[in-house]
This record gives sequence, C-alpha cells and structure tokens, in this order.
Amino acid sequence: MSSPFSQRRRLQLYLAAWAFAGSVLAALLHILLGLNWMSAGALALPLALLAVPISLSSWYFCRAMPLTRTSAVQVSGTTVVSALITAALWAAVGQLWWRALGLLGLPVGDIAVASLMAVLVGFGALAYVLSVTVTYLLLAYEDATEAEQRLLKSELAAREAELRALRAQVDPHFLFNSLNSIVALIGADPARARSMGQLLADFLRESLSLGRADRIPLDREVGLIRTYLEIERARFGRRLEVAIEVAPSAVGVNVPPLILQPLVENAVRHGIATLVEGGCVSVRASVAGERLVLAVANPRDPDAVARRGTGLGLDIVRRRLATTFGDDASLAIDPGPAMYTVTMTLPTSEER
Amino acid sequence: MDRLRVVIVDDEEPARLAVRQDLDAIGGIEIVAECANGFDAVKAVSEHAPDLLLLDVQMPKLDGFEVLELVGREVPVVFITAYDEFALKAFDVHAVDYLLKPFTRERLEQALTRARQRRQAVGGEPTPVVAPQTLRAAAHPGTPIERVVIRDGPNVHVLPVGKIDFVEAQDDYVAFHVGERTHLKEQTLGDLEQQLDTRRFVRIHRSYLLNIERLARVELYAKDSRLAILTDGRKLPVSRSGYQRLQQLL
Repeated sequence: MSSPFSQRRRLQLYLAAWAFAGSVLAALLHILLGLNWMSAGALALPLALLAVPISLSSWYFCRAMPLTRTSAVQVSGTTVVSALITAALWAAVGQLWWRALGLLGLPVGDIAVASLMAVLVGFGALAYVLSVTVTYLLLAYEDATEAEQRLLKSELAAREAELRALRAQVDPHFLFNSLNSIVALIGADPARARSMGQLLADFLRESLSLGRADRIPLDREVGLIRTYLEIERARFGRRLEVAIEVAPSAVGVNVPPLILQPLVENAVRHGIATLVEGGCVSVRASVAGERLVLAVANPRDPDAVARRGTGLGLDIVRRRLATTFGDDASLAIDPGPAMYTVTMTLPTSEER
Repeated sequence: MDRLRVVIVDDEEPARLAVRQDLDAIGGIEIVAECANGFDAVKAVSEHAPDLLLLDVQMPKLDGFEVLELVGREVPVVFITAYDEFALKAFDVHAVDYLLKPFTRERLEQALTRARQRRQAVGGEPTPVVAPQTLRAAAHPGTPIERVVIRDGPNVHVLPVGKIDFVEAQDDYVAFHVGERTHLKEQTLGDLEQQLDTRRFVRIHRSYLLNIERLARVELYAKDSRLAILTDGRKLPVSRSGYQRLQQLL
C-alpha cells in the first residue's frame, strides 16, 4: 500500500470526514461554551483542516505498529499517549488561533482558557483514536484483499502450467503403434513405410508448433486431424473411414490448439478399433450465431469392455474449455448404444 | 522338414504384411490363411486345421486370448503383440511363444523352431492344451469376465454377461439361457461361477447360476424347498445353501 497523500480519493475522504468533524466541533463550542455560530465556525473549521494532516499521520503510526506483531496493551497505550500529546499540541494551536481571531476583531467574548483547552483536547484526543481505529480497519481490509488476489493469481498460474503440460502430450500409444507399423512396412512395402514416416514427422512438427500457440485458426487444427487420421488409416486400412465437414464460416474461427485432436483420437481408439468392420469417424464444424459448434461422432461396439485411458482425454478437453472460456463453452456427450457423439460449443470471438 | 501350415491373425494390415514377408524369407512355411479378426481366425482353424496360429492379442470383439480359448485344443499358438503386459498370461495358457512387436526375423524363426519341436514331441498330434478356465483366469486375473465366447461350429458367439438370464449345468456342458435362446459350451458350472462376478451371478442350485437382475421373487413351495421366479416368469429350483447365498447378496 502506498502512502495516503498519494491517493487522491482517500484524501478527499479524509477532507470530507474533517469538514464533518469541523462542524461537530463548532456545534460543541456553541453548546458547551456558548460561542455564537460565527465565532465557533471561525475557530473550528480551520482547526479541523489542520487536523487533516495530523490524522493522516495515523497511517504511519499504524504501519509502524502492525496489529499482528504488537501486543494489544502496547497498541492501546501508545495510541492513548500519542492521542493526548497530539491533541494537546493541537489545542495549543487552537488557543493561539482564538487569540489571533480576537486581535483580528472578531467578537471572541469572554471564555476561560481552561474550558476551551478542555473541550479542544477532549475532542482532539477522541478524534485521533477514532482515526487510528479506522486506519487499522482499512489496512486489515486491504491486506485481506491483497492476499486473496495473490492466492487467485497463483492458482491460475498453476492451472495454466498444468494445462500446458497436458496438451503438449501426444498419446504415446499412438506413437508406439505408428512406429510399429512403419517398422513392419519397411521390408514389405518401403514406399508406404516412407510416406507413413513422413506423415508422422509432419504430425509431430505441427503439433509441437501448435502447442506453443495460444489460439489457432480452426483449419490448422483440422489439418492436423487429417494428418493424424491418414496415419491411422495405414494401420486400420479400410476399417477407418473419415468424413470431415467444415462450414466456410467456421474455417477462420480461432480455437485453442489441440482442442479437437483428443476427441478424434478417442473416436479411433474407443470406436473404430473395437469394431470388426470398422466405420466412419465424422468431424463437423459449423457456426451458429456467435458460437462455434464442433462435433465428433463414431460408431462403436456397445458390448466392448472399456479400454485403458477412457475419459482422460475428454476430461482434459473439458477442463481446458472451462479455464479458457468459463461458462461460455460447453461439452456434451451423447453415448448412444451404436453411435458415440461428442459436441463442443465455444464462442467465436472473445472479449480479452 | 515338412512344411509348417500357418494361419496369420492380426487386425492391422502392415503387421500381417511383415509377418508374411518374414515367413516367405524363412521358408518351409505354408500360409493357409490370413485373418483380420478373431471370428475369421476361428473359422480358418476349422477349415484348414493349421499347424500353428500366429495370433495378435488386441483385436476388436474377440481378442487373442478368446480365440485361443475357442480353438486352443486344436492348434498351438504363438502370440504376437505390441504390449508386454500379456506375456505372463501367454505362458500361463501354454502358448508356444510370445513375440513383442517389432520383432526381428531371427526371433520369429526361433518361435517357429519351438513350434516344430513341440509338434514332434507329441508325435504330430496337436498340443494337448489347458482347460479353458485356466485360460480365462490367466487372461483376466482377478477381474470377473465381461463376456463369454461360445463356439458353434465355425461360428462364434460373443455374449456380454449382462445378457445372460441364467446358466444351467448339463453333463460336461453349461447351457447359457439368453431369452428364448440357449448356447452350449464345454465347461463346468463351477469353473464358470469362478469367472463371473459373484455380485451379479449367484449359484442358487447345484445346477443353476442365476443373473441376480433377472430375479423377481423367491417362493416357498414345500418344506425347505423354494423356487426362484424370474422376471419373465420362468421358475428355477433354489437349494437351501443357494437360498443362503441369495440372502447374503440381497
């Protein structure tokens, strides 16, 4: 927290408080000592104005004695003593000002020095204690808010780091299976082995560079998926058919990288791979109003025993959507007995 | 050395290509069939009675262990898989060998030699193989099975256990009752009981294993003898110990 003088709004607050205090003091002088309103005002308002810097000094007082590291006795003792000293000095100035007003020709009347001092010291001391208390409260409130913000920030940073690590992963099974296919083809069909190796290199290069980006146009993501599916076609042959439909209006929409890829991977692994005759993985992208709708569908064997890794890919996608878009994005699963469909909806543009 | 008649089973074409090429290079092998799934493999074994099955483990619908369960009495098997987690199971079910992809031609040759030796040791007769329950226990240690594979001539039925109403013991066979249909399998009811999830299937009688979801109610019809009424109205006898097991479960 910076010093109070630098904060204009807070200064205004103090001034308002002391205009109020000035009026109260004037009223007290009027009631207790019988001063007329004009004299009371002339004495009280400038005095109250003088008290503003004094009361602002309570900020330094409070910083020097943080409540958490000082005993209550020490705090209250010091507060009372400094309140009395400050009030006495302030009252003395008030006394002088009162004399000066008399010299200036104001009808100051006949008031005992002692009773004026008593009223001024009493009022000043109380006001000082009050301002210390208020400052302590303000400081505590600001500390709490600051701590909360720090916590939020560190949580957010941790989650981002986690997601970054998660999305950078290429499924090791996919790599392993592809490598095996390439090795198998090297002797039997060298040309196919070579083209599959090239596809795999393309896929890895592209997924590395996409993983570093914050947002990518949808057609790059779709390009990556095409490469992926082409590699899988080498393994599954005619069992794997592919239908990709991207509406022209969806092509340029920005999406988080590798948001669709895990869904397509699931479609192959938990869908096509469980079927003797295979089937068609379909990927559809369209824009409805302000929203991008992405759907991945695949047939599957309803009786197949769930394979390892079920749900993890989906879970990562769901969490990434939640951290990136909050409630603005959604992911719906339609686990039909024969057809499994995952539909993702996200905003086409973001307020950032 | 007589030619070894081999069937290749793998759902991935590149893998079949590689095995075929290696076998051609090694020589002394006749490839009688190439299958892309377990069903075709079972059919090919009936049709060709091969000397050896080169069998992938992870395949759709019917995996390698299930194929072995169905044909294991007739033909020796060499497993070929990308995953080493099945290796122990493979030896438990007396597979001739277990090859990890990618493998060298020398390693494949070694497996073929082993298969020939095994064949000569039993005088040309197919290897007598372990009982199916051992296979299943090995293929799925500790976890109850999710489906039952039944061979019906060249055809194979894959039965998700949830579809089974009840199982009845019939001499050396068990009869799976699924709605109106019945499938016979050579197995004892006790073995089957051990494979199934004990929270879903209860031995209500020496001769009956009941899918608990099909039970509507139990009726007392004579002293100490009860009847289980199934949701479709069929009635099965419940023994005294069977009734105790039912009570424990419910």
